[in-house]
Amino acid sequence: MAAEWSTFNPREEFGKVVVGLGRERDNCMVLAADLARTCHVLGFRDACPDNFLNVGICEQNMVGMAAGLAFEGKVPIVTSIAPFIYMRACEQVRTDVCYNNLHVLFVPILSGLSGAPLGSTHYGTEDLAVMRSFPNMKVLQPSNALQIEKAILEAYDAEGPVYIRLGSGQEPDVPSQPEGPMIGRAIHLREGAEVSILATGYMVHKALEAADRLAREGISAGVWDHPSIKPIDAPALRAALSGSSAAVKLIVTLEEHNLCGGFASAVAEQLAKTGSPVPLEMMAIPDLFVGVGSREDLLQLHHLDSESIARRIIVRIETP
Amino acid sequence: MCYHPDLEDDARAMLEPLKTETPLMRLHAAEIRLNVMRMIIGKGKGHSGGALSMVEILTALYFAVMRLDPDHPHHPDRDRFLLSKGHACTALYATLAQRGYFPVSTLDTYYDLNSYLGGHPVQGLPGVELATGSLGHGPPVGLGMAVAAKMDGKKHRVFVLVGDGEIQEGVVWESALFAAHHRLDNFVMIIDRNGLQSDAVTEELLSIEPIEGKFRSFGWACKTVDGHDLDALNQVLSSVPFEAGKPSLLIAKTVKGRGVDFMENVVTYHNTGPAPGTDEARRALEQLERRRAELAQESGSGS
Repeated sequence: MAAEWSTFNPREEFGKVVVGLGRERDNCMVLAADLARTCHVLGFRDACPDNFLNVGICEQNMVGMAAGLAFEGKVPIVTSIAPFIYMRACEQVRTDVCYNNLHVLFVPILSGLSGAPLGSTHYGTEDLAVMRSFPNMKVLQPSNALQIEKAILEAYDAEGPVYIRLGSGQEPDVPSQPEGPMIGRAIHLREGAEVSILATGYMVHKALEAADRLAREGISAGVWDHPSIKPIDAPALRAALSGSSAAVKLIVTLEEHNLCGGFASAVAEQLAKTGSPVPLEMMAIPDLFVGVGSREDLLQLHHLDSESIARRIIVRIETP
Repeated sequence: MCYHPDLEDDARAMLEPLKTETPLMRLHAAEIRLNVMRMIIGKGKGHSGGALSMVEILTALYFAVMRLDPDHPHHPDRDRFLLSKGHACTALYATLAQRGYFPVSTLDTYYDLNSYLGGHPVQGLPGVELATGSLGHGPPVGLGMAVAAKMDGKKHRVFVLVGDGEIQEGVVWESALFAAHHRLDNFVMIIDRNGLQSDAVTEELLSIEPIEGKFRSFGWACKTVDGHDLDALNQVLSSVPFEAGKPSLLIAKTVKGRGVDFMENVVTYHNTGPAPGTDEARRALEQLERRRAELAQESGSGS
């Protein structure tokens, strides 16, 4: 991470937001599965003890219960380490919550490689693919502290299930302020004529850094932040195709997720509908189990650091 | 979705169990069983064995035990019921129709395009709370309902009917731990102990006995009953919670395929019924019709 970014801690922001919600909304509940401390929801437990449930190490029971609670009018916010929600309790998410279209918020931490170096047991690198394939589910990925608060508050007032993907540790607090709603909307962060870089979550700061590097090489790259993976902002994708003037030479997607089925796929599905002639470069974690290392080292290993991103873009637009 | 703030005051005051007399309950059960078989034979598809085994359990719940109002299926004070063994849904559909949630003729839409009467219960059919049928999912969802009731100071109970093979699902034991730890005595789980699962006898495939001992050691209050004895079911289910401060488990000993002699205790009738147009189909309907007619005569209800 470049030194110039101010940073924020996603778990701490989450913890603060739910305390505020709990104090204002009688029906707000937080459910944890023996990871309340890790997920920073002990503040909620202390502020709203009657609305807090630590179910033990029983994620399937937790999500099934969330469905029952939501059916009765509660608004459960379910938190855990990402894979324990989107895989361990996957069927409960899909069948109990999504099939019945119940209003449950899933707020996993340690998404992407933010759990590094814990290993792939604890990495959340397939959740976008899984969660966005469920009807009724909305999938959000905030890229800064403000967006975490806005995502949770907006999801709370929305209908049906919402999955809000959070990272861990200190993350760059990128200047990306949504104007109006977050659900279904992308944020245009930087104008660019030749390349449009579409990024989500933690990778937004890499996109901005890569665009700086490209500018130094005389290449004009625009940057879009897509906190809403589902629904995706289709008009923003159309706008990204045209750049600041004529059509761009390349669309790039950037995500901290397996190449299969995530943000890149969501973008590709939309672009396929428009019959886009612009090439699409999907930058994501390759389809393999990522090993041990720091988050930054792992991203660099898979050419997802800003320098590698810029270099890949140059190679791609110079050799069509 | 479950709140009806505009519900009339008289409806609010109405919620009491029906307390149906036993002979009439027997007749209801016979009609439900006949309708189950009509649906399954009519469309040539369905899980018949486990539907027939639980008819008396449903009859007792809907005609004698549960506080409910078919005219206000979302009444906030109603007892909740979840059919976790959702594959046996034909018995639930027939029971709801018998109880007046919708006309019996609606049963004819079973398996039709866009029907609410599919192979597992879904939201939209009056009396069905929400979609169930993936095994092991009912208990946690019901626990969520039970916790909400306790939080809100509500008196209604949550009844979840599971299959016996279903308790092989690990999540059932997660919910068993939770229910006991949180002293959810408004939560009642009924096991349709018909002894068979999809592929074999439970005790041959993956032993689940002693069920009572297991749940007792988890902190539940447990009872066992003849799952075809309406008086006994009524009595025991009307006595929940079996112990204050504990979730209740009722093991209902039943016969899979009950009511059709050649279907009883036959593993393959788990997810099939007699094929339409066959001698078996004709015999099954004849047996169930004969039983219904006998009981109608006994109770003086005519045909």
